[in-house]
Amino acid sequence: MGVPAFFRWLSRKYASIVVHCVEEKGKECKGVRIPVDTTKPNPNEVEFDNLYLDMNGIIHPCTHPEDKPAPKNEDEMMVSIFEYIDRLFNIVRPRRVLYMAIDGVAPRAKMNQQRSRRFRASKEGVELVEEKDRIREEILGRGGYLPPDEIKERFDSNCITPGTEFMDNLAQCLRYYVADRLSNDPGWKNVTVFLSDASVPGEGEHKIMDYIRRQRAQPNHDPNTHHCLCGADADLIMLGLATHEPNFTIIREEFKPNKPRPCALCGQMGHEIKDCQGTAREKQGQHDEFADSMPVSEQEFIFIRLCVLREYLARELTMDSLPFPFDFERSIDDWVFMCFFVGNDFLPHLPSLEIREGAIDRLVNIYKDVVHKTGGYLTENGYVNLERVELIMQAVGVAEDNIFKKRKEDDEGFKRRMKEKRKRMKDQRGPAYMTTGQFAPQALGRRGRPEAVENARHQAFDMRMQHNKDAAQSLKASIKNGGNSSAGPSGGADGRGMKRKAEDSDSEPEPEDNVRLWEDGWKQRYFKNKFDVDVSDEDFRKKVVRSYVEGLCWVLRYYYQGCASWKWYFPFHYAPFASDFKDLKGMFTDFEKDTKPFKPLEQLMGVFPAASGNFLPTTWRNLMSSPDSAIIDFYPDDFAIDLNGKKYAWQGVALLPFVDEARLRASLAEVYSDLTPEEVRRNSLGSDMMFLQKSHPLSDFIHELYRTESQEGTEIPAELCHGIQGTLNLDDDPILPDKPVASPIPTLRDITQNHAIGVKFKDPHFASDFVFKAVLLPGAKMPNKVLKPGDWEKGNREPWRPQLGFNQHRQQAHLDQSALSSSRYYHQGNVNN
Amino acid sequence: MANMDVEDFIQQNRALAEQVETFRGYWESEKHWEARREFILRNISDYEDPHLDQLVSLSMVWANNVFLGCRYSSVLLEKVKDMAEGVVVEDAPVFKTRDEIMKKQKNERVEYGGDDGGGGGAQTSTQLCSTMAVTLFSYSRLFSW
Repeated sequence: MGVPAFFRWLSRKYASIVVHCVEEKGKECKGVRIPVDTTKPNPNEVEFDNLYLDMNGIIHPCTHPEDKPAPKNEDEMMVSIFEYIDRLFNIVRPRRVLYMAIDGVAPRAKMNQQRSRRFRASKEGVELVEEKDRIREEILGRGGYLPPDEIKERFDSNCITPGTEFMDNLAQCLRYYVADRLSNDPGWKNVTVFLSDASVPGEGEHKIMDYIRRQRAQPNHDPNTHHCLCGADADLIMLGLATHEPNFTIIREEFKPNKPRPCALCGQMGHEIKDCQGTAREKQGQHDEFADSMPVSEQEFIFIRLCVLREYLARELTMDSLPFPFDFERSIDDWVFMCFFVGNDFLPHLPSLEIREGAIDRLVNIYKDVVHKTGGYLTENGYVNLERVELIMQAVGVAEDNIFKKRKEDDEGFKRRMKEKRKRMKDQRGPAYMTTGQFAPQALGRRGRPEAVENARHQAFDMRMQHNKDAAQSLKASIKNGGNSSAGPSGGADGRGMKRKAEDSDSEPEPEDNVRLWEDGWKQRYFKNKFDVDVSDEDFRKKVVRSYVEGLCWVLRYYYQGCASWKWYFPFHYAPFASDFKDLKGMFTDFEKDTKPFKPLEQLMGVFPAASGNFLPTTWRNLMSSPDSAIIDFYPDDFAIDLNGKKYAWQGVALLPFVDEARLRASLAEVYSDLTPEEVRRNSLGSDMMFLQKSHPLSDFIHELYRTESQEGTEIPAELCHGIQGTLNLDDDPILPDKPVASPIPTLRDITQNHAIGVKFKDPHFASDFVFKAVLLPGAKMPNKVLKPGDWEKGNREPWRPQLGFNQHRQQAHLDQSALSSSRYYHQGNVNN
Repeated sequence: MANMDVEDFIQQNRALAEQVETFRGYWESEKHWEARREFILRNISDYEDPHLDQLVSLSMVWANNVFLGCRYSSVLLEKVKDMAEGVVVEDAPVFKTRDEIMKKQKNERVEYGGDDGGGGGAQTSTQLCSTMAVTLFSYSRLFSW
């Protein structure tokens, strides 16, 4: 979700959903790292069945990390990714399934956002290179030292897009990694590993959702499966709730604000690129042995328990005296829907709904108020009831004017307080009076103690006399100046003529805002400024509202049913106002059916700027820059940014033109024949893969399929794999037991003793009009309640003890074996003192 | 004046006009579409059917430049400017492109850095540099890809 503030709001309001992860670290003996034995029980006192990894949340920090110097080459990046997955596997210890999903081609609705990011990233990359070169020259000119750096090409993070060579290499490396761990790590022995790489269309998190949704809909699914989903997006929380699985946990890195970043030029910590002096790095340890160990703490992980969030929501959303039966699961779905209103990746959010202003609380209150009028829930299984939504929107619309005015007041108040604070800080330049001479303060810890003061009284007398002399002089001076009152020595004498610094010179210039939502006439100005239409153009406004309504339906469907249309997108850069949502009934019926995603290389043409054309075949790249190209309008060299009242370019809205799919396809048709066989392969749609260790019950079954060279898809027998269903097909170049697996990474060994087997996997098939139900499945057991019951005080005399982890009855604090023995050793007097 | 020409043309070339209507983007308001339609109609005689897409593309280059604030290569912009001769756009919106904004902030940094040796200048430049670093990585960290 494009709303990072969402998680902050959620974890503050519902604090008990967060549990810190216990991570067992590997021990070291004589310089050899001993891997952790993950077959042991999970130290977090919970056992997980399935671990799902949204791989893009891992690929980005491993390939271009923020808090450490970047890896030197692609091989280092891959190793970094492997280590990260190992860490997660160690913390979570899934017992049944490990599902790794890499983003494939996304629906069109998402591509516009991806396009905007890549265009911006490309420009920022160029600017950073220019800045680095400039400072580099300065430093070298001054005789400073910098590591020889630019031999390697700057890593263009735009290569993390389906269809590039990099993503292809990554898929190969992950296959190797899986085969290696299955063959050598006992903790992986019984785990079924799924890998959905970039050649399979769909965003990573949605491929995971599709998998879960389809398993839930088949009769052999275990309704008490304990899921753990790894990813930093706030909307994973929404996705988890939407599954209605009782045991769902999210794992993510704990966000630590203001982490120090290494200088982009010399790679050292402690300063930014503008302050780089080009000094040699200090040796860490006598022989620089601590060189690569960062003095920063490693990132820690946290669990988000969705069952606890459900408990919170049960309190918040329970409503009495409803004209229809109350169903908590339906309220959760409505809550999820309202969260989307406030922010999602596919639609710009309404100007009056900002999460940091408590928009979700506002919507929930309106929802509970209005529910008697609405006559029912807003959503059902991911389908939206437009009439009822209109009632909510109208209620928000009525409050819009006040929301804008209050926002301005709060902003002004904030700015005022900041200014005052800055003034206070500036005036405190140090203590008002500092002793001098012999009495001057000496820093501690220097060699040689400070000398004893000699002739203290004499010194004090001298100081008094001097001070009196100074005071007399300044008094004389001020009398001469005709009584100009001056607070300090700098005041009177140079008062006139000196350019008085404007009060605001310390603060940045006010960002421009042509719309000024807090002033009357905001609607006119907004439509004129953003859409270049007159507010009286009702037809146009209706168009925008209709598209937005389609968008809301599309987004909800995406989360509950899957992608309803690969082609749909919101064709404007701005949202309408809540008060514009009128006459919604019948505005939208259904999406175009049987739409298909773009192929990977086509998608690259749709999201890359011309500057990233190097990832594409030559004749394709040409279409991005040649003036004769029939799609040259898709690739502007520079584009407008609407700062929208904000200060920095990256906060503004990028006004990029929308790609016309028909024209793109028509232009590509002419150059399709230029693709090399390698490129054709990268451009094709791939399949999910499943990997097992050869002692897994399903492994022999698969081996048999290969032996008989069965060409048709085969269903997984339900009893062989925890009730997981799906269709298996033979892989063209399969990973088979006892067939060595070559390592794509020079620093890692080939697998000579391979015990893994791989096969193509497809989720269970359902008819295109099948509706996946958003309900609790029969047989599902709810986990124990964690929150303090509302009536605790009345019934009990003992104080409430909050639950801190997964185990209600966990030991509060204890020493483990080694600590106990040590303390016994010391206490028995074996050591003096 | 130009409107009358366009109206006449449409009356006399019904089939062609219908075809051109299909080029209208869903997001285009009356004002934007009428301007772009005129651009297309004024140049349509130079583009035979297989190359019609090129004309559409050039019309979009022009429209994106005028109504959306996009910049293209000078060669391209010159070309569409010539092709757009005679098309009158009243009250065209005004934009600041990204390059312009970045340049402005850089200049401000220098300006304030010179005036005030301490506080203000350093603040702005810190923010500018950290902006760059933050922007490069911000998307990857907290947003999904």
